[in-house]
Amino acid sequence: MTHGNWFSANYFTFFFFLKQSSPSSPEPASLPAEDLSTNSNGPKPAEIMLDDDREDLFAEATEEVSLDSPERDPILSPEPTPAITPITPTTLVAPRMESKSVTAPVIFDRSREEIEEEANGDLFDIEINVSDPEKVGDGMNAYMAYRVTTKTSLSMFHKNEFSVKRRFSDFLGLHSKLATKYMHIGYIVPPAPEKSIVGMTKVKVGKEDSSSTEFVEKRRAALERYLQRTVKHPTLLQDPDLRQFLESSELPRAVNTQALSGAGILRMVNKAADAVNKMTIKMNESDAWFEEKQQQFENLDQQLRKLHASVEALVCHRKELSANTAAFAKSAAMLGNSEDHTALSRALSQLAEVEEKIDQLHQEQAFADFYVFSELLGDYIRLIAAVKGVFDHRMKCWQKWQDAQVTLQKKREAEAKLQLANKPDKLQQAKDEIKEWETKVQQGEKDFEQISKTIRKEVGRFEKERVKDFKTVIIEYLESLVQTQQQLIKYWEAFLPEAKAIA
Amino acid sequence: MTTTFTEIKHLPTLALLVCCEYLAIFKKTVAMHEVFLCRVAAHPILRKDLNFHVFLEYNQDLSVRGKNKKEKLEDFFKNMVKSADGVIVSGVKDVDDFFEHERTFLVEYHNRVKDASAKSDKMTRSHKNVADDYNRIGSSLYALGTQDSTDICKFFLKVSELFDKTRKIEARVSADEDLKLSDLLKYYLRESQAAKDLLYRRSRSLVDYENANKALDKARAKNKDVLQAETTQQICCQKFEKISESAKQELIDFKTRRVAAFRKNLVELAELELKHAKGNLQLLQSCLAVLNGDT
Repeated sequence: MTHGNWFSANYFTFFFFLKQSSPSSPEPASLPAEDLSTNSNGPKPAEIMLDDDREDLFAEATEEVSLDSPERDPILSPEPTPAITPITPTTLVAPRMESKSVTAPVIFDRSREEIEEEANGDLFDIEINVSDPEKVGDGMNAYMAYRVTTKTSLSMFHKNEFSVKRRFSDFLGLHSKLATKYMHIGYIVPPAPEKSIVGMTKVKVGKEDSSSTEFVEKRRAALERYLQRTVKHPTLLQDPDLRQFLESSELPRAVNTQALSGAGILRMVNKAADAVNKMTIKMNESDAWFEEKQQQFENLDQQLRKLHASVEALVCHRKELSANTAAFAKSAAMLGNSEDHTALSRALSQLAEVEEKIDQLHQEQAFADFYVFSELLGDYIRLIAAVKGVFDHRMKCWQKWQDAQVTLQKKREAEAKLQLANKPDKLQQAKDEIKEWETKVQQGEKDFEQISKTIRKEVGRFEKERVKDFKTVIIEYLESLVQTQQQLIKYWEAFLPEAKAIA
Repeated sequence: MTTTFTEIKHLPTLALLVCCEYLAIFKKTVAMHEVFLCRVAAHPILRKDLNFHVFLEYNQDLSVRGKNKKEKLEDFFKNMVKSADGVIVSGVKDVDDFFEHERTFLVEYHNRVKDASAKSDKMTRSHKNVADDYNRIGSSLYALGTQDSTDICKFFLKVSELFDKTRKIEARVSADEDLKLSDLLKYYLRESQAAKDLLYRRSRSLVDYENANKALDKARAKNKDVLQAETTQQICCQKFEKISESAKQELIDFKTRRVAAFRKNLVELAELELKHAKGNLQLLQSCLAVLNGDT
């Protein structure tokens, strides 16, 4: 497929989507010249989605805000879209909600490629920091607000440096929106940090102890990594919801991210349904690449889990070592006090001091063990789950295509029967239905090819990122080990003459 | 023995671990035995003991019998009596300043050494746990690295190797700390207990002496069995003076030995810690150089 063909095929797809509002009004695809603005379909446009998609609605009911809710409007960014609008790539591949002005598609396509090349060439200039966790409110309604600071030279943002306050459910809301828009067409959307009812309750209740401080710090770091990963994705970076999250001072509250809300329960039910479905879909994999990759990801998942478990054990033992070293230091100090030989007494006190410093070292090392190494592994285990999810979407897409083919066959058979029975009025309807299903089959095939293509690219990108991430993080971790050893040398070198001075 | 182990890279890690463990324990035991024998040899009286000479010189197997049930029971009762008695005896204040000071010192010292010994044990065990974790991490990285032969896999293999090597060093740190610190403290825990026992025996003999004195006075007052009382008193007096003399010397020696042992072990501990930290550092830095060079 040449570039031009691909483009026109997708353009066709896009317009087809917009025209398609119900199963009973099929229209042959054409290249209309009209401007497809948000108003063309009425003030509250119907959800743009594939048909026979009642089940789809349920299958993807992770999105709590439907196009019909009044909450939607503020989310659609009111500013005028520049000529080379970065938004368009999302519409070209028909995400669920977006319908923005489409001016000159050709330019958009190029701009998307351009921006992606920029990403590859590391001209991706955006840096996100999450800082200053602050408790807001009291009691069980309290929450932590985090400051999200963006520094960038990209022109899609209004300023070069700006910051906003966000709470944890805002992050979950953002992820939910992105996942709904992009996962089902093959994009690997980075997962958000996990909820923790226990952790948050402690914070809400106001326990000011070290474990709740640790929890907040762990969450802050996780949120930062989450955003950094998300903005690194060239397609997601274009998303207006992401931009709104980073830029706007007020964000509509994402209530449906709560675990026990209606939407939350629906999510859980759907996850279960998905799991069952996965087991029943037997896909004829014509492309060995996908089978291979799935197996690879399965292996990688297992091994990362093992490694993660070992590193978590290390963190635990290192913390124990630190505690035991501190205890020993105190004990050695006491021993030094009761020792009546002066020089030995002094040396023992020095030993106690050395061990106390070493305890500090162990604490810092445990910190690095966790935040640098262990958390990276945890992140990747969740990322791989997202990758598996995307592969599953492809399977569903294939299934849909197959189902459409089956239905088409049935319609053809029905038409043949009607031909024989000679019922002209019903015959016309049957012919119409056949045309409708033929288009659906074509659509299904195209969708499947598209998602396969996207996944290939996404997996390529993921692998590159993974390699970079692991190399950077492991090197950073090894450098922390180097630091520890250098400090140890300093401490013992200082102690040695003291020990020798015992006379 | 160590060289052959480093050559056998294909040995499954568990077997290697067991060998390293055994070596560490062997080293420990040998060191303890050596200290014990040197002590006996340095002692003015014990060194002349025939049993000792037989032990050192007899060039065939000694058939040493362990304590039988009766003897173990006897030991148990002896200990019971001693602790009960010790409580009574320790209430007696000593006339002699030296011994009074020693007693106060030893009681406190013994308790603190006990605490330090326990804490040191916990610390060395934690160190060992960390070393074991490094081993598991090394294996997991190895599994990741053998997936294919891409760059990242080669990277994982190198890091896996690093963890294997650094694990060995960490294990040795733990073993050396155990040897030089934990064992030292354990030894002086028992030594200080032995010194306390010595003081107890002296106090016991002091009490006997004082009782003998009182008995003599009574006998003289009643003018009955005076000679016997006098002999008893004399024997007690001699015993007491003899034990006081040797105890004093032993306690002075105890201090000298203690200081020397602590000095030796603390110096060796510091030197070993330095050696291992430097070894670890070099290992890490050379690995980092290779990894950074590749990227």
